[in-house]
Amino acid sequence: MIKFSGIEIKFGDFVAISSLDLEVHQGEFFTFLGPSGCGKTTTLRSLVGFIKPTKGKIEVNGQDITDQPIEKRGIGMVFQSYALFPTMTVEENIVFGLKEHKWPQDKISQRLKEVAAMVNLTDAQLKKNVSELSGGQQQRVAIARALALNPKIIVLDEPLSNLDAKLRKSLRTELKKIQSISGTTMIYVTHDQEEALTLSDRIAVFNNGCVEQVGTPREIYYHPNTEFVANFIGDTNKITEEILDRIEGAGKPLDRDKNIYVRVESVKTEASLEMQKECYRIEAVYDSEEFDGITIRRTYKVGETDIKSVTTNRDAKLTRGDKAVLYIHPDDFMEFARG
Amino acid sequence: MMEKNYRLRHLLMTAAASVIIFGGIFVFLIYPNLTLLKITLFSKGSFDFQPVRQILGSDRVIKCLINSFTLAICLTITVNILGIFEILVLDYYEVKGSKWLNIAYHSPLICNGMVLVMAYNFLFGGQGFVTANLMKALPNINPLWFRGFGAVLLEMTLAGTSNHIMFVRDALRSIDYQTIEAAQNMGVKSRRILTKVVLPTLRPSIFAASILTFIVGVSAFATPQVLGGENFETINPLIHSFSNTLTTRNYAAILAIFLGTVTVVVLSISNYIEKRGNYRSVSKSKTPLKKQPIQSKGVRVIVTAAAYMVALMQTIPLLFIFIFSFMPVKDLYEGNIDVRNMSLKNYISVFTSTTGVRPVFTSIVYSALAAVVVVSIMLFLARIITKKQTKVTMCLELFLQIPWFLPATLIALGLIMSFSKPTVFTMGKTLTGTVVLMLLGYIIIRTPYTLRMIKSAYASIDGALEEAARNLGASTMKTYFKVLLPVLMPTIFSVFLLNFIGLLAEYNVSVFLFHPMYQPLGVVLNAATRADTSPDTQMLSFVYSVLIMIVSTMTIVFVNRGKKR
Repeated sequence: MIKFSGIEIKFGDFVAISSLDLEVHQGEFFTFLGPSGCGKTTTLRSLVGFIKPTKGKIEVNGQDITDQPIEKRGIGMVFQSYALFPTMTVEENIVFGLKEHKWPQDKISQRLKEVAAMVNLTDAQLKKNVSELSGGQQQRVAIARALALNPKIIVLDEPLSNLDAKLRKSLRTELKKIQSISGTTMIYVTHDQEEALTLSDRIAVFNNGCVEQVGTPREIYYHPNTEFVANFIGDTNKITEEILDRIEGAGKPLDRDKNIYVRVESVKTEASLEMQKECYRIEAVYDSEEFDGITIRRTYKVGETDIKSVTTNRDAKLTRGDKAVLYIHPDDFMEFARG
Repeated sequence: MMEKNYRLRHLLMTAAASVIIFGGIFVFLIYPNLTLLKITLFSKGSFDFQPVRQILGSDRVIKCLINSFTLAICLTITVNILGIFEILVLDYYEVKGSKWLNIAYHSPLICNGMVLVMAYNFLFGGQGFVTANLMKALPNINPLWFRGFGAVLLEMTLAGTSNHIMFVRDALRSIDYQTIEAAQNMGVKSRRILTKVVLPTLRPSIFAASILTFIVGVSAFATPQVLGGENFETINPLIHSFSNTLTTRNYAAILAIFLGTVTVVVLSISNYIEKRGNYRSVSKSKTPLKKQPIQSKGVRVIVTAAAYMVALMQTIPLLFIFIFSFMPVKDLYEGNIDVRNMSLKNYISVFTSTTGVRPVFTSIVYSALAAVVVVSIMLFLARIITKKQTKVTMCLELFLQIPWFLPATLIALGLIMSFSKPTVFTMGKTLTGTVVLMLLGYIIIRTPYTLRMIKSAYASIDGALEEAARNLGASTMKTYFKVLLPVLMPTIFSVFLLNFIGLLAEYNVSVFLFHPMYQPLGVVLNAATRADTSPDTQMLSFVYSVLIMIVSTMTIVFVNRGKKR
């Protein structure tokens, strides 16, 4: 449905995006994920029309929209700062686009009711000035305003980043619900991997103006194509030379010419006898722990190197310096060619 | 095809707008200065440096120049000392009664320019109220005791703190209190915190206020003219007297150009220094400033006493103008305040005669018209400057700041001399001597300030608002009028009002450009300070001053309320 072909975006001499190719399918919840300054927002803004690519083509349903004016593209946008018009009421904000598109008054009223219901805004809230609403309510208005014109595509630029953790979680569930009800294709920009993994049908991981990998959350998490993706998504341990020197068992030795990683949840402190035979074994010393309510993240020392493990076992009482054995299944290693 | 048409239309519109903008800038900002240069250096048709040498060889002129620059330098120092003291007393230190002090320290915004000069003249001048009482106690005292450099510097210092109260104070209030707490946490003493943390943070705004103060000092006109006396003559009154006769007009032009050149050089050096020492706040989440107690009792008493003394000195002229406006002329000359003799006679005289009310109407019409025009033009130009940051727009901004760097005298003389004959630019019309010229002068002198304020208003708007409107289908024009303009409206109205009150008692440009039939308030007030003016006219000037102060007070209250919102 949306196709970026050979997109390059330059700001002066600085290349923000270089030869980007990407396809987003109809009805998908697609996320651009990456660290700050990686080019995800720039790509999004080029789709909406705020930035014109230096090279390449953007197509929507086969139609080239690269040079089309912003107002003709019909792509809704939810901004990071919400961008609500401060001199207007909630209602005026929501119907602004409808009036600009010269919708008849009865249809405007009907659509207002529909989108207000979708984002849970009451009649009383609709009459208020936007400055009288809380951050979460303002975000609902911003979403309602983008939904009002019934666009086939809505892009959301880090829309939940200004909210507290709890509100962020509840709104993201609602957002997903709204997307499935409306059937709109949504492109979501975030640097929060948890948000990306929980919301998305597919994710594009950005780094330095390029897409490192496109895939479903599971593909990205369990089968990262690049070292960057492996490091950026989830929590990983790097298997250093020091660990390689002390690792034992499980058949063939690991390839020292590659960079090797293992996710923290794949480092086990307990294993059945059968598992022990299949796993690599590392002798380590317990160092410290972080408790987050559901899991405990323990740090062990292998020589000078830290290796982390996540467990739900809260019974083990460990003291700093206690000896421990860590088990890693050979399938859990992620290997990447060096350089 | 549509795309091509759009581009062609856009190109044509850009070309037409560029011609109009740069044409306007050339005709009203550059051409008058070129005319002055021509008169200065080509007075007899060919290049001739003789008049320049002649004028700069005159002892009187050199003395005036030295006086002007001495005044500017001293004023910059004294205004900074007083201004910083005032803002520290209001917002940094715990001083009892700071609410009252706050009102008192706003008086330079209400009672300034020609109004304040007139107040000083009628309090401390030869026929002044205080002088009359002093002479009763000390008959041998010189009636012109309040004359010369000291008197000018004192009046201009007390009148010059408005930039500190308006801008430097904002900078002080926006200091992140956590930086002060961090210094306290490191065991730094409060005096060191002030000098090492607080004042350096204020440096950019103090620097900006200093530049403005320096320009005010160097181009001082009415104050030295009225309070300077024979021993303290400055350059602008001299330029004015030269410009009055045709044979010495080129001398006036030379002096104006010289004054302008030196000012530009000084400002360029200052800008260079300022750019080298600039910094940016890195605070992530700002904590509001909390007032600091003055620990030492002795210092606290001295600071409080000084704060109230300054407040008195700044409010006394204002109060006396109000009282004088109800007094008969006899009481004023004799130095008596007798409530029984007070009446509304002066007010009735102003509002019941055409000549009495005419200066009020003239000033209101000119100021309002100029304020509307300058705000409208700058809304358009500031939008272009903030939207497209290219070399062309940088040039445009620089050109529009020309009036900031040039003394008002130079601007006025340039206009008089450039448009004294029919020109192509004015479609064959002569503007000198018409009612249009002063309006042009007013618009020009308020251009840089208006540009600066509106530009920062544009910059403060979240860019996403405009993008959101465009994204929702609004055209560029609709986005501007439906979304941006309503957001800008409070600032636009504040700038309009500040321009309006700034022009209400304007003197420096008015005295050159006014139409004899329509004397503005500034000129009328100045005339009232002359000894040969009739006593009745002098009494009317107090009524004018009170009216100006009332309008100014209402404006300041409105603007401050807007700021708080």
